[in-house]
Amino acid sequence: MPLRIFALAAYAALLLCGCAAGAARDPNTLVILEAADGSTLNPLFSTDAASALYEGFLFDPLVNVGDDFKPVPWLATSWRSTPDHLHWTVELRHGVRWSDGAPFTSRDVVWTWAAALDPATGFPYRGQFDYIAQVRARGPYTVEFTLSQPNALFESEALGTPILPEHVLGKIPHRLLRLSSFGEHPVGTGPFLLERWRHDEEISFVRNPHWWHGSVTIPRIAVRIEFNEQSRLDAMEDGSGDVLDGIGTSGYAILQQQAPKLRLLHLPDLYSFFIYTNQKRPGLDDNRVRQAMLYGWDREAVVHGLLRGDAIVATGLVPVALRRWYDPNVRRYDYDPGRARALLDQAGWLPGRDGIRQKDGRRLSFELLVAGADAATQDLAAEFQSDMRSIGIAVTVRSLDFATFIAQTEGLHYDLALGGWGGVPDPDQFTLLESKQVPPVGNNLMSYSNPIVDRDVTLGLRTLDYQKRRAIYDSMQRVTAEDLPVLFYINTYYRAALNPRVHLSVSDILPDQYLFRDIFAWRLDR
Amino acid sequence: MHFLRRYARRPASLVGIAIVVVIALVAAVGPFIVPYSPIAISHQLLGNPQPPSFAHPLGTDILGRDELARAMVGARISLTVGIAAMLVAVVVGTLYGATAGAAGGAVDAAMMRIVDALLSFPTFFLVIAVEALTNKFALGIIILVIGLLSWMGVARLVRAEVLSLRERDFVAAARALGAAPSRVLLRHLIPNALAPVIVAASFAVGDNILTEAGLSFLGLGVQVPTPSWGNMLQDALLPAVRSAWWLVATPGALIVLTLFGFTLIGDGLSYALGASSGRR
Amino acid sequence: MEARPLSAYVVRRLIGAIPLLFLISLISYGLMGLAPGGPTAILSQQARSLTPAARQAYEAALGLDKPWFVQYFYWLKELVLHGSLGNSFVDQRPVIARIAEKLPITVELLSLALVMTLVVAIPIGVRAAVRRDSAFDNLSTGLALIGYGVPIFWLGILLIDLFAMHLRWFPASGLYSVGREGNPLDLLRHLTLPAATLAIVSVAGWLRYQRASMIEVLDAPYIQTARSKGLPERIVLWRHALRNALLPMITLLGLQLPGLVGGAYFIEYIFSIPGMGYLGINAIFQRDYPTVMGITMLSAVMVILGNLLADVLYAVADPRIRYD
Repeated sequence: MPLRIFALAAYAALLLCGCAAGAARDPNTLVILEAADGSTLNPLFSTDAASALYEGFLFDPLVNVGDDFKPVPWLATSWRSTPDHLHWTVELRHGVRWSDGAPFTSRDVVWTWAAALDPATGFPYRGQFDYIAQVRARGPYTVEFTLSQPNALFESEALGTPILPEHVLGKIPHRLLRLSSFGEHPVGTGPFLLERWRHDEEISFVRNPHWWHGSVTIPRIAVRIEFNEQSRLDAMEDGSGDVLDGIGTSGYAILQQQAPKLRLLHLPDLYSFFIYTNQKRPGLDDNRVRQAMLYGWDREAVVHGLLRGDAIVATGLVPVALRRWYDPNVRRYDYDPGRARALLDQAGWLPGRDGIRQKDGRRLSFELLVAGADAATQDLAAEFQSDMRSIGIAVTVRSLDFATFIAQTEGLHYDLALGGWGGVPDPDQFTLLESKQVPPVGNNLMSYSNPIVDRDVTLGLRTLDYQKRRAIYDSMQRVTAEDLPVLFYINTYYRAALNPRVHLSVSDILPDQYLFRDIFAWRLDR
Repeated sequence: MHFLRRYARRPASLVGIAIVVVIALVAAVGPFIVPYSPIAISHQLLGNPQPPSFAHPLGTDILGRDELARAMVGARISLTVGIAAMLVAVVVGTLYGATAGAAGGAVDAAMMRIVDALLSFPTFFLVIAVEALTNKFALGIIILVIGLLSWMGVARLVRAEVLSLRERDFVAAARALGAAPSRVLLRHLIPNALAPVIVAASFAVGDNILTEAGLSFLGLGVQVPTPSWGNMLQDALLPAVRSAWWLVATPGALIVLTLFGFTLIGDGLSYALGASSGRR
Repeated sequence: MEARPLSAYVVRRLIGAIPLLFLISLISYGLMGLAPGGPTAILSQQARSLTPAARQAYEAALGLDKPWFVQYFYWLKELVLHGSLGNSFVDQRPVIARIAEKLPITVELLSLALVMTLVVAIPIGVRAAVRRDSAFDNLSTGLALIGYGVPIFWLGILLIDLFAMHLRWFPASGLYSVGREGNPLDLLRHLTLPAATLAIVSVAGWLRYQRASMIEVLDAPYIQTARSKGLPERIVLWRHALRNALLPMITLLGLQLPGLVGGAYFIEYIFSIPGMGYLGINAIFQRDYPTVMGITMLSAVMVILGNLLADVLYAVADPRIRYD
């Protein structure tokens, strides 16, 4: 008997002194906490956020992102286009070297784009750059892009693509690029070099002493992968982490309470969430029904009650965070079930005996697909279901795993689906709204078709002048608030935490991966 | 009868029956009595679960739904799935085990090998894998899946009983009188093998209730908005409501109570049937 | 004890396990047939990222145009000859590699839980059997009955709330704290609550049989003999009675193994412990069929090997059973 008590006490003592011994902290390493590891370091093949983060340390684009998402010269020193915006001439920086010492020239740019545009490579974003007809070198430091049509995203997306080394990858046939070891052993021009990658655990980078931009202020970066949110929060609290990239509402609240010394970031994010409406389904093809659904859905109560107020009710597809483009002067859909019912009556859907509306013998009943079986999503769906019921629409909910959800919605086998969109600092909605962009061509899962919107999104993509473009997207926002393509739900916030010893160099802090745009100039207190 | 009196001799067994009967009654009748619907959401109470009060004896959940009404419907689901899945398992297991035991020899060995293989899989993991693969969460499918993944224990029991009964006098007598093998099986072997099956069945109901709760907790069982004790617990995990102890306590305590009842019944049956058949 | 008969026994049991393993592989493969599109859709999805020519070669190598039993043999051949269970959909890495990384963690969790269970259950079981029908006996039996019905995920949540959130004695989740990877004390701290949850539920199941088995042994004549020879009660109890009572418990342990493994998987999910269960349940949510199938199959293999181990232990403890 006493033996067992002794054993228990010894166990307890071991554990308690185990927690007293902290980890040694290297003051020269910036520790970034991420929830998931990246898949590859080759920008031609990665689609996840973590991979993009690492690539940002290792590679440089021609044009980088500055304050207010405006473009800044990077590997390109200047660029200009012909008046029709079909021919772009880009001047490249001299004296840039790859991490293996070789010089950066126009051959690298030409090779990168040849690989990206070749279908055999398998670049996942190739379809976005269909409009680029040709990329040619005009001397060692000049590149000429020829476009088949003008595109407002050329500067930000095309010129923002990282450049890869021709002298390393040039000999590999495009179709075999995917198998090359470049994804584990990259060569780049960027501010950092890969030190070591232990998959799903940690990836570390050291500064590039020969970086063309100047000296890098951070000697070493360690990205620690910790999929468990609580562990990430704990690490910020006890100081073993420096940057926590992405926090949920409750985690943020916990840090506010328990770690007041941390610098917390809370910024409107670039994502919109909404309910897709399949407008080939009877009922959903009628805009009055869609408007009624939006009037009948108490989104304020959901944001306030279920999301603790930590989101913004969306008024359209352009998120509030896009300050230069967001137009608040559109029709609002404040909660008004009476108006909803009136609209449905007008549309000819009259309440049946069980309270559900009917028309020509057909019940107004839909299935809502949600991706994810977690409680938060379920509660949201249940609330929507209840609100719809009280205006006479029957909604059943089906939760699916992500892969099946994508397959079903892209196959257009759905009535309603809860989804999201965005992440790009541009108001373009072409592939979502243009009437010919129904899958598999684009992302118009709704089969939405409105001639004015068609005109606006097509023209908007081809117009480069800000004032003209602004007017076009204002029109688009106004019209889509009347003829609803989707049921707008929320714009989210981006939350992050920084250790007080970390100092950013810019004052305009941008959300998501743009938080790290100036990481080479961050300072660490010692 | 003799066995009922043996059963009633232990107070614990009676307590078990009382518990299960009360829960069944509440499940059957309760939802008609309680004035709230288990799925009616309250906009005012959204995000603000209320502790137990006179109006809501078990409080409200994050969507303002009455917890008592939800618990009662959850009881219906649990009992239905528990008992129905048990019946599926018993029917399949009995037929399988009896056939194996009666057939004997290589057929029996092969059939039991299959049972051994099936028993090696972690059942709960298999259940959630099957549910996720098929993406079908209708109550009937859930019952079938749970039932079809739990019949193996019954099969083993029945086979063992049949094997030992096979050589007994009354079987030889039936055969001598020219009875066909299937008739021997159905009329003689199976009814006598049933005693341990009944005991196993009552424990099985409890196990099935736990499995269904786990399934719904992961979101792979009963779907929104129908409440099940399992998905009520999933709701209770949201960080916003961790302080709402009544949401965490209610479904869990009800599961423990229900299982306690069925376990006592199982123990009681084991005692009542074990001694009376003169074995052990 | 001669070494030969034991090794012969082990070999015999190993050979006997082969048809079992074969059946398990067949059942696991059949599981994939439940997925929409069946095994063909699953396996050819692996090829989705390959170029058309490479994909055709891949599909031909897997015999995807042939009837299902041919496909099964192709798959079995891959497994036996190359040790390959295919690649995960999630990160294209071999399923075997992903599982191998996580297996030790699950084993650590199970071992700790087992130690906790035995340390608690055996003494209680002995005491309850010795003081039959006492308050202690009734209390422990009652608690075991109640504990039998506790949902493991609920118990885990309650323990997290009490010991991790309120008292802050232990971490709520994860395997290591950031910066302390590899520190065994940190590992122990993180595994305590999950192992305890598993142990509590196991103890409840264990106690009932322990007590019954112990009572049976205590009533046996040879125990009376030992007592009458004047041996101290402690020696009678612990060296003789317990040893004999434990033998059937070894078999029980083998029977409980699938349940223990399944319970450990669920615990890993609740506590975010990156073991096979966490990998498996997440793979289920992601519909990562190759990983799901790999884990299903390997779980069954683990159980079979566990049972084999239990049988060997039994044979070591009780030589009589080897000679059948």
